[in-house]
Amino acid sequence: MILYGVTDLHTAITHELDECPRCDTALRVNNGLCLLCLLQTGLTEAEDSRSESLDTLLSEME
Amino acid sequence: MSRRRSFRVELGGLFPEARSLEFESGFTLQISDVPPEINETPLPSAETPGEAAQSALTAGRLAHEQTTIHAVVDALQSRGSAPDDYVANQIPRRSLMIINKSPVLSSANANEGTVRRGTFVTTRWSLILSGTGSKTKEQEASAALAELCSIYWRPIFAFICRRGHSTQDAEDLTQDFFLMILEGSWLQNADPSRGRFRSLLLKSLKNFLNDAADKIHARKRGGAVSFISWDDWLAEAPSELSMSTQRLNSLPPERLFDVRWAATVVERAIRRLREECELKEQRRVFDILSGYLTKERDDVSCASLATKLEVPESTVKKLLYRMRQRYRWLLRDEVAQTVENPADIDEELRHLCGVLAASAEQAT
Repeated sequence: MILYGVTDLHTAITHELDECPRCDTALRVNNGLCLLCLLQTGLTEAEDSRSESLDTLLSEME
Repeated sequence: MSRRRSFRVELGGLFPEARSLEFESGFTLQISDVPPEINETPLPSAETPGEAAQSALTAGRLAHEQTTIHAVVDALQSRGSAPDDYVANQIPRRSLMIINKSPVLSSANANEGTVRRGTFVTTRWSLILSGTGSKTKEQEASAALAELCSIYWRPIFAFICRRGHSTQDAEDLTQDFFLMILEGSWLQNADPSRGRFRSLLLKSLKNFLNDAADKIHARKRGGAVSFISWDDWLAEAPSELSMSTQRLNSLPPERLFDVRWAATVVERAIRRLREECELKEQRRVFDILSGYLTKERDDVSCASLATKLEVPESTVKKLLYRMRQRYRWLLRDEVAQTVENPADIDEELRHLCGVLAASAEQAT
């Protein structure tokens, strides 16, 4: 079964990826970040957010 | 329909390029990238909006971008604040974002300061579920459904492949499945009590594949219509999920579907974050810091990153903090589009996290 290639379904690799030291899974996206950790971020409590936003910070860098 | 008397426009204090239209009904329409000419146009408050804006205050129609654009145009024109054909020609459709004044996620709400970008309103899935009863609503629901299908085609395709079909047959079956979804009576049968978009789609896909052999034979006789432009979709959203062949082959179809679904959600949130940085001409900030979005990378050296970005270390810390926070909101927004109520976001996230964790255990 071919699950990648022209369909771009996965980037399947022959060697085992390093497991995430935090959650022990080995599914990675983008720049090597752990998929489960990225997903779990959505479940974490929002931290204090009274200071400036990302937009503001980025604008100040221009 | 009750009449709404309050209608005002306010500038986003921290974002000179952003404005929002705030309705008494509780809806706020945020407009980004508004031409400066509009920013300079004073708009009086406490006047009755135009007829289209009035009708758009009903939740179903307001949730539809195109309708809202016309509502905004009519509303501005009715106040003598914009010449004919002005706004419609100059506000690109993608620059409109509808948000709900009533905070559902108050933390994210606060995240964005004076411009309330942090709350969720009618999701695509809830729009689909409410899309019966009138032709307009059905059209809106169909458009929302088509958009969801175009986002989540990979889990469907992966599931079909895992069920043993060749790549070519899987492509054909994916096409046929979407045609069945988009042109058939699936929408009318999408009972809210039957679950979320993901689970309902998977259930429908299983039923669809039960007589897949007949469908493949029928297609090979000709006459099938293509819904998917594979090249367009691949170009728009290349997959960046990496997993070992061993792990890939160990996953049953249902689990692969959910893994692929989770990857789609995450990839879309990251892509939106990247686009927001690009909008501020700060793609380099994204490139350098996005590798530290999770606490897996808490070993980050802010001093090193500060050197790369040529900014003070304190700025790096702020950027990391805000980037993580913004990513979190975008991720939850993506999930929100596939559930009926924002209250279901956590449960959906927990389900997907559980699948990923179980997949790791299975592979060991």
